[in-house]
Amino acid sequence: MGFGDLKSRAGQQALDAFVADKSYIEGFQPSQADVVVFAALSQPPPADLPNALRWFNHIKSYSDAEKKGFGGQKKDLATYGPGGDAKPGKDDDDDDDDIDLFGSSDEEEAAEVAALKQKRLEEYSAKKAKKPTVIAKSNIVLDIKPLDDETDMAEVEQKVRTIAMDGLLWGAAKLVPVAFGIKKLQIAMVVEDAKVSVDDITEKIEADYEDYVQSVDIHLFQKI
Amino acid sequence: MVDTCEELSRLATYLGVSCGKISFDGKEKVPVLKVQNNSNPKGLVTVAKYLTRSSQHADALLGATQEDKAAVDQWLEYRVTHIDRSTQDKDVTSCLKELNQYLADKVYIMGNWLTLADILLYNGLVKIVGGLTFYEKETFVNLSRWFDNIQHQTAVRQTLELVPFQRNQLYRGVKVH
Repeated sequence: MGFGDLKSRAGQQALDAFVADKSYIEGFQPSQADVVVFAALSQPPPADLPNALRWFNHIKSYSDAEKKGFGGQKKDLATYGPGGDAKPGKDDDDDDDDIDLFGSSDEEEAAEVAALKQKRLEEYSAKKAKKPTVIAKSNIVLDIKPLDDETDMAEVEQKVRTIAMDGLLWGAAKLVPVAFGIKKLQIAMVVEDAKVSVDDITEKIEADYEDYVQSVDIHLFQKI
Repeated sequence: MVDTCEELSRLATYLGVSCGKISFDGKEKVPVLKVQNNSNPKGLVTVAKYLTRSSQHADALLGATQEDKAAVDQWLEYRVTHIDRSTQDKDVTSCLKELNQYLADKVYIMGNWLTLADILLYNGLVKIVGGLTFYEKETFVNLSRWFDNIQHQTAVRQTLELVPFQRNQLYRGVKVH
């Protein structure tokens, strides 16, 4: 990076900042580095850059012969000064940033992992397919109330049993007295939830057998 | 307190002279050099100058001209009267401030070359500067620069440890004494 143009104010300011804590450009005794930078300055730095001026006067105090005797090698002016030597710490920081903490480091490894994942998925779905799915069923008891007390409950029961649907299974039935000699029919049925809708059945009963049935209620609803 | 006897033997090594026997006079609290003709120089500065004069580097380290010699002497005295005798922190700080201001435009105490003044002041300040925080070193930036330069002359430092100096971005723009 260097000082930049040492004939410009900015370059001289850079020099001033650089030599504030150093007596020489490189190391702790005069070297060719000082000669090179000195030659780049055509005149002394201004007095408001005290460190640069101090350094300048010091190097100036050496004769040309002495200057020739300084150690080191003459390098390009741009190599001297701030940033000329790369900060070792910076490289470490870059390395740290590059490490992807959560990503996989190897592409090959990623492919392997993906293959394994796929295999496992297939095994799982095969296992799942073998297992017989449990069919959801419900046990329902319907209360069927007759239209009047003269309705023949046995007939009602018979008629209700004629309702046949896939997934519908009629169970036991019994007559339960309600009041004044009226009996309601309690009939059980086992229904597959997916296939049969309870509402459909109740509506059907109410609609088809209007003459016999006053209403249908669900007395019991149990999931099996 | 600096161990003056050790310091003087280090100086002798630097100068390339044999230091003979340096003992510490407990009563006057000064180092004494046992010399053949029994003149036995007493006192840090006296012994140091004696050793330097007996070496090849006398002119370079003590000053070639009368003015230079006087200036070097003045700084040698400064070492003993101000630095060694500073007991309180504020005295030490005022010394450091003074030196920092003085060194703003100089690479060495005498300007452009190493003298006995640099060596003795370095030795006197080693413990003090070693105990400064990085922040304080930043405020005495010229002093730090000078000190860092001297301590890297291995012939001067010899067995002493290096005091670390590091510029810190946090302290940029800190008020320099």
